[in-house]
Amino acid sequence: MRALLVLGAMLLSSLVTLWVAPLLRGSASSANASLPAQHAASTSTEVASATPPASIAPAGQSCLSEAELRRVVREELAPLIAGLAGADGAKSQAATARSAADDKRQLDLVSQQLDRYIRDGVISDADMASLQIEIGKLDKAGQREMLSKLVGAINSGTLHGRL
Amino acid sequence: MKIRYLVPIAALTLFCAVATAGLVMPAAVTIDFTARSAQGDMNTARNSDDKVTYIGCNIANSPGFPSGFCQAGVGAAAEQQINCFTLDPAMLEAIHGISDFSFVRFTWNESFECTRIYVSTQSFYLPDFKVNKK
Repeated sequence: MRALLVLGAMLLSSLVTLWVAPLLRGSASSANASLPAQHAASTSTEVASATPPASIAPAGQSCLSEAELRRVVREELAPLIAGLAGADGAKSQAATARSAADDKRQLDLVSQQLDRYIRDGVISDADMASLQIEIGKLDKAGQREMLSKLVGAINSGTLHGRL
Repeated sequence: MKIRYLVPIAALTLFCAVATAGLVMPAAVTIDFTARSAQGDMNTARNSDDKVTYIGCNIANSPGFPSGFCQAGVGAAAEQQINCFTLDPAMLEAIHGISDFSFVRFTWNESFECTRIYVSTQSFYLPDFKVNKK
């Protein structure tokens, strides 16, 4: 999102330089007529440094209106936005896949830990607290699965411990 | 001579009437494994003649993982006890509402997840403190 804003700002800045400058030059030229010669020369120099390429705003042509300027900005930004959105989507998909893999690995670890307690037949209060903290790190489905396994083991008498 | 006995008897009768005032409805702990339902009031469970009866719920508030458990037992064997868990905020709220002398009823599903937690706090579940003081 930040990259998009930076790109947008850069593009907008360029467009302003390219299309708004002639406007300023035009108004400045008319104003220069009434200014002293040295001041007019100075102003003219500043504007000249931002003279747009002839292909974009040929000298003597009228400049773009605000609506046209907005349309151009939109058109220029559209592919950038689409590209960034695509990149974000790909990143999101990768993150989701990675998260799912992490969830599965974490679930397996907690399940193995619980299996060890069940094999021992007993779980201390401290271990129960630790186990529940680990269960809490799982996604909702994993939490349900492990709590069901834990409570089921206690209910069946294969695991003795205090919930 | 008769009056000498009648006055203390009348006084004792009046005292007993005051001491036993109020409805009392103790609810012993029962577990129905077929209906997957357990219930009972905590005062009656605690004052049972045996040393195995119990009922109640608790909350384990790990960061980002509020969970709760309800449990009841009427014997030492595993098949005489039941536990269920919940992650449901409404049921956790119900557990928060349990007080020392509450009546608790809970049901569970095949995964031992609590499906309903009912809590009732009524005067008729309270112990008779006057009798207990004697």
